[in-house]
Amino acid sequence: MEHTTQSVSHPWAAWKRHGFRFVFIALLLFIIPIDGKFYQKLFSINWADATFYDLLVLTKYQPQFFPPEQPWGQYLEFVNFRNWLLVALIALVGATIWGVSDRGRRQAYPRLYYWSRVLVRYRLALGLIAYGIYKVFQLQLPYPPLSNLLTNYGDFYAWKIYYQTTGISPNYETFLGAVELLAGILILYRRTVTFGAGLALGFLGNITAVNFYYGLGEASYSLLLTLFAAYLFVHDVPRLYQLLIEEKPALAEQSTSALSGNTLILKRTAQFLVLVFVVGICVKAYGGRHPAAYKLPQTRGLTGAAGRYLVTEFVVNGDTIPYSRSHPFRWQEAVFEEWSTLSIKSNRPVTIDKSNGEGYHEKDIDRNYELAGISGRHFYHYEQDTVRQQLRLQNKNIHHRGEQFVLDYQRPTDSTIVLNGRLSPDDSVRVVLKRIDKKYMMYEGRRRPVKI
Amino acid sequence: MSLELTGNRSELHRATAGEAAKPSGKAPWTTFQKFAFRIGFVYFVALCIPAYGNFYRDLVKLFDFSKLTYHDFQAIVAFWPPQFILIESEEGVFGIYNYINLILLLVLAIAVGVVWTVLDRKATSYSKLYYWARVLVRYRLAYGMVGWGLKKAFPMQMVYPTLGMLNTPFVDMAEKKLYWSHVGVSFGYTVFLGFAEIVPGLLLLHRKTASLGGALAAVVCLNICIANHAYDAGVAVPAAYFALLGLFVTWYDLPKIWALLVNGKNVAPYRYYPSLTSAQQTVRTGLKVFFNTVFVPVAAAFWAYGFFNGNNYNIPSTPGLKNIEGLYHVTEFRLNGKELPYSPTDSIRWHDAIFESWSSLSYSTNRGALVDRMIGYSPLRVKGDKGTSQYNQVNTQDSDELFKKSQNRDLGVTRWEVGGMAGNRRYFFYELDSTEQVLKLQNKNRNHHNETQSLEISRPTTDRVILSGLNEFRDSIYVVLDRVHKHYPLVDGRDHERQAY
Repeated sequence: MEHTTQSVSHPWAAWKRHGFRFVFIALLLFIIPIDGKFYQKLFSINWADATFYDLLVLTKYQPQFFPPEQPWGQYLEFVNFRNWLLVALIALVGATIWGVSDRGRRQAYPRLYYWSRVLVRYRLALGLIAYGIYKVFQLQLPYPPLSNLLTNYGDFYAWKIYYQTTGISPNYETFLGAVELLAGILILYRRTVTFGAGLALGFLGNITAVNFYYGLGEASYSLLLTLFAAYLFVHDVPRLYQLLIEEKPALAEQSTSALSGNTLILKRTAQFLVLVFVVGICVKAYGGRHPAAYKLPQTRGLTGAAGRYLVTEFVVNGDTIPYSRSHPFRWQEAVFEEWSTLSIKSNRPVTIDKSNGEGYHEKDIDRNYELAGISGRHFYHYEQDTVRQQLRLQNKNIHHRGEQFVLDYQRPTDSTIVLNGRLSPDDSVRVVLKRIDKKYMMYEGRRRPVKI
Repeated sequence: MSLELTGNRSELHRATAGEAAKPSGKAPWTTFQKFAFRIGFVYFVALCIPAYGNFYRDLVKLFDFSKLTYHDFQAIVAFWPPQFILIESEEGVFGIYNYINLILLLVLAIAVGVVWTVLDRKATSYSKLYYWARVLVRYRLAYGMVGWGLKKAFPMQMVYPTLGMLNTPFVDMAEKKLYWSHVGVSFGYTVFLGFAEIVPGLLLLHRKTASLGGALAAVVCLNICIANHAYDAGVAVPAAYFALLGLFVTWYDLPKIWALLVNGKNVAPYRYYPSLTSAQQTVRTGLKVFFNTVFVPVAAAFWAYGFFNGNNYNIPSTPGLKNIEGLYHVTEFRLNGKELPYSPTDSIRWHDAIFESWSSLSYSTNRGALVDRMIGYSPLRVKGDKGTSQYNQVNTQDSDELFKKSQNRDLGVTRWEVGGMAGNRRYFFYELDSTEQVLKLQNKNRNHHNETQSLEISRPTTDRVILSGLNEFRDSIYVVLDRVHKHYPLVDGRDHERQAY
């Protein structure tokens, strides 16, 4: 036998009945997967080989019948708010029908209310825990690659500035993840739901604001989770108001009888599944950081070449082009990353990748986080042929994929790389790169006098 | 299986004295509770009373009505907890070692608590003292939170990146600078954060909402504290101090909230309010109205006035030359008559130049400078700097003092433009002598404030500037600058139709 929050005969006010019917249907539509794409994703996962991102995507479920808005659509995971309008419409119609059929019979829905809270609690906790793990293991906001650190502040989109600024402090990212985890755990325990919901409301409220102000790409998902947290929190608002504001006697929630029978089995199963899922994502997030750190390429770069290089010589078709800030295509600076990416700063225009770099990509050339949202340099994925000492480069930017060329490399000293080849069928090039070992302020202590 | 009958609703059991650490009302306190209270009372009251002379000096300044600015209000509400020792380290005087002062104060409070316990055998409860301690703490915290919030609600603490910053690599900015800039990028978000501090402050002013305000303040300030440690932003300990105060305010109601929500027990009203005579009531209301007015709407008015009238403490107010702002390439550079070609390794020849919309010219070379670490707010500044600190940084935020002495405030507003930026870009404040058409430049970096230049300026076309004269090393230079019509993704935003940059 289930329990009630009030004695059975206590009727609800009319607005509460109408409101609940609407909200209940809306919650079901948001939480219980009705979008075929979810099941497609679910059944396409190879569970033996699943990545962290596969599991994360499952926890981000929202019905998405309307495609994402252009021009964001093909780039971001921006879920169109028209989906919310559709849900609201269906809920309105459903609630009206329900209201008519229940007229005069049902005065309150304590059982359904209880179960709706259970549903929202598990849904919200899952979402919070997944994102908490995502941050605790520093996967969401990777430490910025050197090319990104060297990019001018004005060459970033706002979301990238936000991500990168948080990314330079991995410990802070872990702290934020821990807060999300704490909120999720508090919500899973029945007695601490209100504290967890309050914490989640504050945390998620801030994230939603950031999403709207910076265009991070998760505006509707963060707002949805915030609304879930609010739904859980309002449960105790009347009695807190009585206690703290009205200073009247405050009545606690009636103690509930222990569950038994089928509902107990259901509860235990749900708890077990949640536990399995949480352990699973932790393992995936941690186990083998590099495969898990899917936002950055995995192939190792040219041995010992990582660093920032000055372009001391640049010869095109036999003509030496001197240093210049205004030349249309002379390389100004080159950066070899730890992985197989070479970035080249020049005045050649960049059509910015407007995505937010989310998504799991198997191939390094598709892992575009390092170039998403910035301009100022071109990023090339390279394959190295150590026998013939060649690099086959291809521009990683989705708008510039056609740019491919091959360069022979020689390494006369530890810090010099000489490249020869053709930039295009018409242009032969010879480039001499010299590594710069520069000190950067943020690695030189925080207080001592430093000349930089 | 039966529905467990609910407790008889008309019967409410009183919360037992044992449930609360510091109960109120009529039940006598236990020995432990009394001892704990004595320590807590001394600790939190001491935290809320400024313990250094400069505070009282600044308090007196508040009466100089003709020269009041928002800085004067801020100096009053943003005072530090007592500073016993200043330990210097890489985290400075301002970092993690500063917590020792909060700990030393606790030790002192325990000592006083012990003496008090020995002397005071007769007291049965301290409800009245608890009440007044809580009043002190919540008003102190409220005005502090409102003060901190106003800096963002009228965005001054975090402002939009300057042109110099837009053209500076991310890594050439201090972590503190990056943290503030990333908030400053969004005006709306800065205001939002300002309200996230003001609203808890306002809630603290009313006794019924005080606990909610305290809890919100504690959470907000805890986040500020952790972020300050992560980004070396310099106010970690004040933020932790505010979080402690918020916790103290909430602590009064916490046991009851726990009993109600977690333990599922009904709770009777329990709050203690002292009974005041009608004369005392009048005094109380008068004081309350007075201080609330001074530190909320009046303070806000001063911030608003400063914000809208060119006294933003992070933005210079002397206008630059007309239509000169922008990034310029250096087409020609002669040093003592000899032309130098551009090279990224050159430490004399300018690589580029930037004019801001205020009177600032900056250029970059490959030569470093002693970096202005943007130390900013610190106990040294508030308490008074004896100049003995190894990590002492001269105060770069004295625009108000300069302004009050009728000097140009811009040289006291360098913290945003110059602080926390790598030294290879040098920022100069300029003033134009219009008869001679000569710019007098002064280095804005206080570590290099002796560097001045005197350059004759001519503008043959709208996009070309020619400077010639003596640079800071007494060499004669001749520089031809050509403006670049540059667009910045950060400024345009992703919504902009422009695709390529």
